[in-house]
Amino acid sequence: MQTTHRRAFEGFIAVLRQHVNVIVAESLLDLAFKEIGKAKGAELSEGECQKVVSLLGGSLGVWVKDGALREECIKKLRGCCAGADTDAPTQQSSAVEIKSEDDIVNARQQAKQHAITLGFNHTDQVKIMTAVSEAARNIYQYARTGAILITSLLIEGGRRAIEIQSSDRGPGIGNLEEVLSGQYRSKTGMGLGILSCKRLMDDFQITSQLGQGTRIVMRKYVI
Amino acid sequence: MGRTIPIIRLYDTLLVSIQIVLSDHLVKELKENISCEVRRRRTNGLVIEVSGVDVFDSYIARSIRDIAQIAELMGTPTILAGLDAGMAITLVEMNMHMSGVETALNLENAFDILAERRKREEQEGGALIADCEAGPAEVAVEDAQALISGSTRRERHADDA
Repeated sequence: MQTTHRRAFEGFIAVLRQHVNVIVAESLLDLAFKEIGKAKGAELSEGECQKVVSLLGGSLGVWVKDGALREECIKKLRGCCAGADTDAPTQQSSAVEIKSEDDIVNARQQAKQHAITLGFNHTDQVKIMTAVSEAARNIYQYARTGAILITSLLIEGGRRAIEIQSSDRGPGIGNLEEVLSGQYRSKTGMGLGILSCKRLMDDFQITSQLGQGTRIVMRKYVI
Repeated sequence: MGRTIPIIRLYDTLLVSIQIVLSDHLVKELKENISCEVRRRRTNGLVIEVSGVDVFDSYIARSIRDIAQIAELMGTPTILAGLDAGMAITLVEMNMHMSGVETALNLENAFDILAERRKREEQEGGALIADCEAGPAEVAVEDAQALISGSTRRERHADDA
């Protein structure tokens, strides 16, 4: 029961933060919890959960002007209220186009949100954010444009994982084996970034063709 | 661009606190500003504070290492302060060597290290002068050279890098 609640609270925050900033998210949630007379760490029944969602839905109008976005937010919040068996995060993806240095920051913030919702501990969150940062920076530095796709995965047996896909149509890497073995020493640090990703994540797969581009798929599993 | 990373002077120590995301443009500016400032006034140390950094990746690690090497070449040791547990664990797992950059847990420790080093240099300098006053001193050439260049410890660090 305790686990159910914790994910609900974190789930609410994770959903809210996709639409408003963290300070607003936390105060809206604090107010809603106060309304139902529960402390932040308390267990919520299904009914209390739904009440929180309707309270949040009411106050969202001020912060999320777009009706469609608001509806989507409320739907996701309701999803956090579901019972124990559907409690795990649903498979969802965030795509971030990498065109500027700000996008690198955006990509890692998105990754952090997914990681928090999936239940990764703080150190693993940092590792995931760092791997995303390395991949995004490689895209920006060598290909100029590309995309990062972050997916929260549910695998059979109840295992959860985060999957990061990084793709670009950049120059590609010719000496992949050399780079992956750690022998290559580039002045610009390209090999280093890829090696870092490989070391920080659990599964790592890279395909690259000179002149065609590079694609990386990597996963980290929640223990 | 508009944004710049300020360099703060505290007596003869320079303090740089990195709180915004680094870009190539900012790193280049930082290198130029630090080397200018080191030349302009007597500087015995550069402290780079990173507790405000959200993700310490290989790009920022490399940039700091480069800045430290530039400062070192101009006779100024660099101390990196503010790495948290997550950053440290990640750096080791990435096998990212911050060689040539001394580290301190936090800002106070960094300044303590620099103050202690300054005191030791003053003592060494004082001892040499006392010897001279007593009579023709026989000082090993290496010691004299070390005093002139600033510190034996700094040279040892450069060898390790």
